This record gives sequence, structure tokens and C-alpha cells, in this order.
Amino acid sequence: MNYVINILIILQIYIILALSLNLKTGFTGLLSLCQAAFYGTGAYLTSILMVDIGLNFFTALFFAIIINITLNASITTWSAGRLRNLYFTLGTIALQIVFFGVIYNWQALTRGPFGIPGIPKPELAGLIFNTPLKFFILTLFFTASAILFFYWFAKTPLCKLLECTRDDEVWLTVLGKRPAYYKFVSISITVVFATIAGALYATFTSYIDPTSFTLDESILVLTIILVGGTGNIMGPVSGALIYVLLPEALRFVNMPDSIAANARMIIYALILIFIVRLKPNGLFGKFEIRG
Amino acid sequence: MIIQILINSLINGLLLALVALGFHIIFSATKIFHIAHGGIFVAGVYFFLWANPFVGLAYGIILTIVFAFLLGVIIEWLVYKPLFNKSGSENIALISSLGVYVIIINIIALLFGNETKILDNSIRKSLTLGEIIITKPQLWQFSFSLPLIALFLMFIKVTRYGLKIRAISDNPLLARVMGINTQRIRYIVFGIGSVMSVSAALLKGFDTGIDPYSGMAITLSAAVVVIIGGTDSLYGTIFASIMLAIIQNFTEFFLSAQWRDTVTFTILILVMLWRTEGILQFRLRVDEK
Repeated sequence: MNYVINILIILQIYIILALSLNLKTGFTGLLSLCQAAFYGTGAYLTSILMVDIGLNFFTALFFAIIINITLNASITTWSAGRLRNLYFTLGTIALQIVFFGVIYNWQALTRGPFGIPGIPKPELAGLIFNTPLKFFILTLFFTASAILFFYWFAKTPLCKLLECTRDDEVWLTVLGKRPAYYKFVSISITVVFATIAGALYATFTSYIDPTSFTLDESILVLTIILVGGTGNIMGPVSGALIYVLLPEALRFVNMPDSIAANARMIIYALILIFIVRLKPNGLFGKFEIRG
Repeated sequence: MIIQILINSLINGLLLALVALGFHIIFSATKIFHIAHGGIFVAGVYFFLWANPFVGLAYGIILTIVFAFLLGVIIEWLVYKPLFNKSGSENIALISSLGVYVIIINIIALLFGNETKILDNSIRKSLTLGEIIITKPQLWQFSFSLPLIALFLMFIKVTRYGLKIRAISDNPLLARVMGINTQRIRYIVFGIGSVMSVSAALLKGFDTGIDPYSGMAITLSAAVVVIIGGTDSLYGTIFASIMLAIIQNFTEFFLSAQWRDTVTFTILILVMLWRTEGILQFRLRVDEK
């Protein structure tokens, strides 16, 4: 039973991550490969605030979100203003690699490759979320709020302006709006939810180290939303389902462990190539990823 | 000591320039951000490792070069050509390329394992000139990469195919109107680019060895160099490769090896934000196209 609950918790963390990247990539059209940097910054900030300063989970999460927006969202918005298309994507790869270098090397703060052990479980008014089932309820709360938020947000006029940023930036300028502002809004919301996912991941595993937040992780999250489809809620959720449940399904085919990891990656990559070729807007997507 | 670092950087820079020139013609002729270049880089060395016991050194190298050319052509044929015909965007090509990279790397890891492989395990003599030590693999690297770069530049600047490649880089549609077989040129570009990458990989494999995951770092370095040097200038790419190698080596010497990628990409971000068109190029790139 715990096995199923653990899988469901990981699944929900990926659903939050995919939904948040979907806002930036699907709605606003900023194809980016730095989701793991946002997610990792969130995880590290929450852990450091909880372990070294001793804050409560929710306070730590609140401060982590604010710091993460000032750090990452401002840098990303700045480069989104200067760079277009491929060069923006390259800029996000650069941000991701710089982030990894910093957490790997800034040992005074992040303990480098040793990682941060002993991250306490979240606590709310005397209730400690220490068993998998209780933690599952906590993640379910966050996932449900994320889904509801994005469901509501997709209908707001603000979201239409974000879509306009994606479709025709010049037209938006003609209407007297500032594209940079809408990009900042979109990236900030992405950062908020990525931070939540990171905080949940850190407290769930109680140990984090830099290898969980590499470029490969960013590629995987992007794969999730491209396979599922961008620009709506169904896409990222179904993508995350495929991504998390496929390896568990492979486990029952009795594939030896030595080749399972590699075989899994090959299957993902093949799915990605075929999806991009045959159904460029993913399984449930409304919009194609465009240049 | 400084001179020693400079000489090492020069040799590393020439190897990086080989990879970067391959990346450069692919990027400028097809506008594809070819991350699978790193996969080809690694695949070449592993093919050589597999072929070497059967056919010996010389034939092994020739076969590897042929293999690299074919691999590049096959990737273009299977993956990029259909996207190009559907006029998919640059970003779709980038994502497919990531997919191809992941597939190549994982197939290699399945077949050969994840550990580092060195092509030549024997104890190597080195050349000592005063305080400077140059190892034998480094001598090979220097004496093979310089002529290769010269040959490549001659191919692009002098021959008819080079002219066609430059025409396609400049304006693919116009080149097509003028009767150039764009598809064939794209095959050639991918083949030549892959050969450049694999020759650098072989030279590196004889020195420090290679593992399946080392391709990504070098492709990203090559991409950084192409962007920094300017996507229109081959000389800019060579110049930037050597500069980047110098910076990387000094970082490794004075800070630590772990800071290398961080410094590389910080430079990339700074260059992209400060001189978007690259340091040796004089045209705005932001709204190109």
C-alpha cells in the first residue's frame, strides 16, 4: 500500500511541475529548459530555511517563493526580453547549468555534493505529516489547488493576454500592453508552483542533493508536457501519468535492473520523437510548440 | 606554469574548434540546434573501440570516419528531413534532437556500460622542453587537428560544395530557386559535421578517455563557442574556441574543475545579453528571420 501511495505522491509532484511549466511554455510560448533550476531552488531554499534556520514548513515555503521569484523569475524575464526563440531556450539551458554549478560548489550554503539530510516533515497546528498517507493528503491538497488554479486562470482575461504574447508580440505592443510585464507574470506563477513542488519533494524524501536537479530533469519535465500536450490542463496531467506510471509498468515485465533505466530513457525519447513528428501538439494539446 | 596552461588550452581549444566547426555548419546551414552532435561524438569512439580489434588501427579510423558520416546522414534522413518537409519550427527540431541524443547515449550505455573507456592504456612518453611538458597524445592532437581545421576551411571557402553550403546558410529558399539540390547539401552538411565531431572525439579518446555522458558537455561548449563567435563567422568560432579553452583551463587551475561549466555558461549569458550578435559579428540577431 505504501508503495502505491509513494508513487502517487511522486506523480502529484510531477503534475504540479508539468502544470507550472505548461503556463510558461504552453500559454506564453517560452520554450524553456530550466524547470529543474526553479524546482531545485525551491527545494534547496525550503530545506535550508527549515534545517538551518528552523522555520515551519509553510513559513519556509512562503519565503522560498519570494526569494525564488526575485532570483530566478527576474533573471529569466530579463533574458526573455533580450532573446528570442532558440536563443531564449539556450539561455535557459545556461541558467540551468549555472544553477547546478552553484548548488554543487557553494558548499557553505548547500553542502555541495553531500546534499542536505534530515529535512523535517511539514507540520501544521500540531499535525505532523510524517506517514505516507498523511503526506499524500498534503500533496493532494496542493495538487488539487494547482489544478483548480490553472483551470480558473485559463479563463481569466490575463491569460488571454499571455496567449497573445505567445501568438503575436508585436500586436500586443500595438494594443499598448507591455509583453515584458506579461512574461514576468507568467514566469512568476511558474516559479511559485515549481517552488511548491520542490518543497514537497524535499520534505517527502527528507534528503536532497544536486543530482536531482540536473539538465536531464528539465528535459524530462519538458518531455512530459510535450507528450501530453500544452495549453490546457489535460495535457500535462496525462503526460505526468505516462511518465511516472510507465517505469512502474516496466517493473512488472521483469526487465533486469541493469538495463531498465536505459531502456526507459530510450522509450521516452522514442515517444518524444514520434509525438513531435506525428502529433506536434501532443496527446491532448490545443497548441503546437512553435518557433 | 602559465605557459604550460596556455599550451594545454591551445590544444584543447583546437579540439573544441573541431567539434564547434561541425556544429557551426549544421547550425548555419539548417538552423537546427543539433544536440545529437554530442551523441555522434561519443558513438564514434565506441564504434572505434568495437571495430579496432577486428581491423586494426588504420582501417579502424577510416571505418569510424565512414560510420560518422553515415550516422549524420541517417539522423538527417530519419529525423530532421520529415520535420523540414513539414516546415516544423526550430524548436521542434531542437526537441527531436534532444530525443535522438538520449537514444544514442542510452543505446551506448546498454551495449558498453557506463564507465569511462580509454582507447590507449600504454604508458606514454612525453616531450620536455625546459619547464613545459607535452604528452604524446597532445602532440597527435595538435598535429592532426590543425590540418583538419585547415582542410575544413578550404572545403567551405574554396570548393563548389562549400559555396553551395554557404548559399544555403545565407538564404535556403533563394538557393533552391537557383537550382541547388538543398536536400543533398543538407546530407553533406550533416555528414561533414559529424566527421569533424568524431575526429575530435577520437583524438580526445586517445588522451583522456570517454564515457557515454561526456558528449553533452562538449556539445554545449561547442554551441556556446558558436554563439559567442557569431553564427556567420567560422574564424570567430575558432577564435572563440581557443579563448574559451583558455578561460576553462584557468578556471580549473585557479578555482576547481567543478566551476568550469558554470563559468562557461555565465560567459554565454553575458555575451548573449551584451553582444547578442556575437563578438566577431556585426548584425543584430534578436529579430533575425
